[in-house]
Amino acid sequence: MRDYRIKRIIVDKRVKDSYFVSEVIKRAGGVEIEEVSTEKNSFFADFSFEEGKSTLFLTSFPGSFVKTCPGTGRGYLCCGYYVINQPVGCPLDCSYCILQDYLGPSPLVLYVNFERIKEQLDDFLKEQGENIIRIGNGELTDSLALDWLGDFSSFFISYFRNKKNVIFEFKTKTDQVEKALELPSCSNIVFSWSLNPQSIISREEHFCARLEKRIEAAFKVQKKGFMLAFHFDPLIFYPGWEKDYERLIDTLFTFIDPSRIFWISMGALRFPPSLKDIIKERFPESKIIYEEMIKGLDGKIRYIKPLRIKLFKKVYSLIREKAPRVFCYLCMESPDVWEKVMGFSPSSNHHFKKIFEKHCREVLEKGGA
Amino acid sequence: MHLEKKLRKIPLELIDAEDDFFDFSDKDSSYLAKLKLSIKKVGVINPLIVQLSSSKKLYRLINGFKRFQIAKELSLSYLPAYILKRDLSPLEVLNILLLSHSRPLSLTEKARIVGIMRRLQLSDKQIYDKFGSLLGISSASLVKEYAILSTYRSPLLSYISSHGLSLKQALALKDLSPQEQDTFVFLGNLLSLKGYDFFNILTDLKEIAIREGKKVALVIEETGILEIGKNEKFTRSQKIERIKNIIKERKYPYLTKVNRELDKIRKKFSSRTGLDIVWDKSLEGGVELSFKIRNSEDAKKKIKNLLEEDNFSLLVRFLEVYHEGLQDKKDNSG
Repeated sequence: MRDYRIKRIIVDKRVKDSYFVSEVIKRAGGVEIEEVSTEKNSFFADFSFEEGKSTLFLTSFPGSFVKTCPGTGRGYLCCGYYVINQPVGCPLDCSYCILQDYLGPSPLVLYVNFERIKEQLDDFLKEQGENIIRIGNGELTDSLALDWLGDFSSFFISYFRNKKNVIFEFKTKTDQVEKALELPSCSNIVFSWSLNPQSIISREEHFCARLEKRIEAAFKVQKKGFMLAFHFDPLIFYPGWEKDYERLIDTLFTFIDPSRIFWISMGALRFPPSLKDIIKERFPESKIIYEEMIKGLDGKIRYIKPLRIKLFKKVYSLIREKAPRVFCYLCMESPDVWEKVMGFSPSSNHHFKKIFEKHCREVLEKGGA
Repeated sequence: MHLEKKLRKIPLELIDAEDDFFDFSDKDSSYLAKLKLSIKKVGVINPLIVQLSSSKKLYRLINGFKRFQIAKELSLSYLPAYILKRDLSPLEVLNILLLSHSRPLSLTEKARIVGIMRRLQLSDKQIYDKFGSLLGISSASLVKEYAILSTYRSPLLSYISSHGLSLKQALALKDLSPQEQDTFVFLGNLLSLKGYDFFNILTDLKEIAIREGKKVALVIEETGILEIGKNEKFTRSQKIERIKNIIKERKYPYLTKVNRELDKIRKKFSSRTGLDIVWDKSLEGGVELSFKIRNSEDAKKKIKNLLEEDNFSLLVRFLEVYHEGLQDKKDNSG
């Protein structure tokens, strides 16, 4: 079920005759349609966040779709993930979302030149040779939130199905898996959910699916035979967090088979300082930014280290109780936090990537974790 | 073309300054004193702008309220003035005022002008489209912020203008109650808080208040910072420093506790070994051991001291607290 909707579609005149454009317009239903030839930047200058999130801009993109995940600055370990920036922008409205700062109040953008994405992916994968690549399109959007308009999931599943060294991840907070379930499964396609207790979902993750809906969707995907992943990110401190995360992990493993989980990540709430003012302005009811937080070595605001370690240790031990062998990692954390929580630390980003690669090879060979 | 006649000298008693609808200027006392001195010396050089009232008996003062007030105080008889045509709309009058304004507009003057425009039923977009460049306002969304500022009471605007606050700094007062605004401006006046300190202290107090579910006024009261502001024993910078420290401890209670404990361990360790421990107080960076050595014997002695079981376990304890905090105490979060 979707709680958000598209109210307006703006079509770049250069792509108005594309089949994809007419398909999106048809699926969007009776919404306001406008054609523009203006440059995107000047045209959308005065958008509010609310307008942006309910407006869809259909255009083409001449640049590079495939990029390395920007990760974070020095002092913290990153895993060497790759991202495909299609679509750009998210109709969901999480209070803590970095896209508010990164993209600003701009409309959702769908690039209709899928041929170019395909060509770029071909070139990119050729360059990578036998390396194991983890790639996803959930960096600048929710991977499935706009799937009802364009069947991106079908495009990506069809493209990556036979790319045996590649693991493609759909990262979502929705329950919109119907389109994906129409296709045969394969073990290198991962559907992942960002999870938080329902109290956080209700207060901070606006327009996202309820917790039980996310787990229900994951269950369907598991049943279909795709692999799963979960992101406990951002982990959030608040009164009663321990009990809530306990309940959440308990519920998750009531329905999900650990052997179908490719990986689980944990990351504590963190954001650039400039996002703080946006959250204050847009979500005055949210209190998550007022905890004891410091500016980290990468310039981002994060919980003080002892609190992060406490959070990670608790959640990690809960996961380990239910799934002792599932592959877990910390997202954007320092080596000393790794050591305290996991008992070891990758020695560098490169080492981290290699550990991940090894795990992925094993899972791909076995067809399950 | 908007003027009835050329520049004229008008008797003071014929000027009506009751209606201050168009008065957007700051009333900074030091500027007023300077202006008074200048008028005393050379008279009013910059003419007023007036408009003949409907009764045709008096001239309604449009621009020059400060000059008029000073002229009255100095008992001047006549003032030079331009007379506007009677059929001009308020918006046209405002336009003339802005075009004839000779010095750069201050933040609070811009806010008052936006306030006047809003009272004339102009939308934010119309204000931006028609007057944005004249006012130096670079986007329509900023008009909204100036409009919020225009609703501030006079003492607040006066503080903002006399202490040179930026728009963002000034808007930090917007979500406080009038009583809280007055309390904070009182503190600001006590310490003559300029933009950066004003904004940071206020922002920290507000964040503490939200986290603790209290009013800002109560946090101010509980921290006793007003008393520090009033204390004559301290210099202005000492007061500001103390207040910042109190607020920091309140904002970071757990971090403060951890750092105090670390400092206790460090002192004990240093006195026993002659080595010092240096660490990042935000607990994010690393921990370093440092020591000065006079000669190789001294170095040997210090390293031996370090490796002694009791001393080494102090170092281990330090690292435990540094990384994991105070495990034996209930942390403040959750």
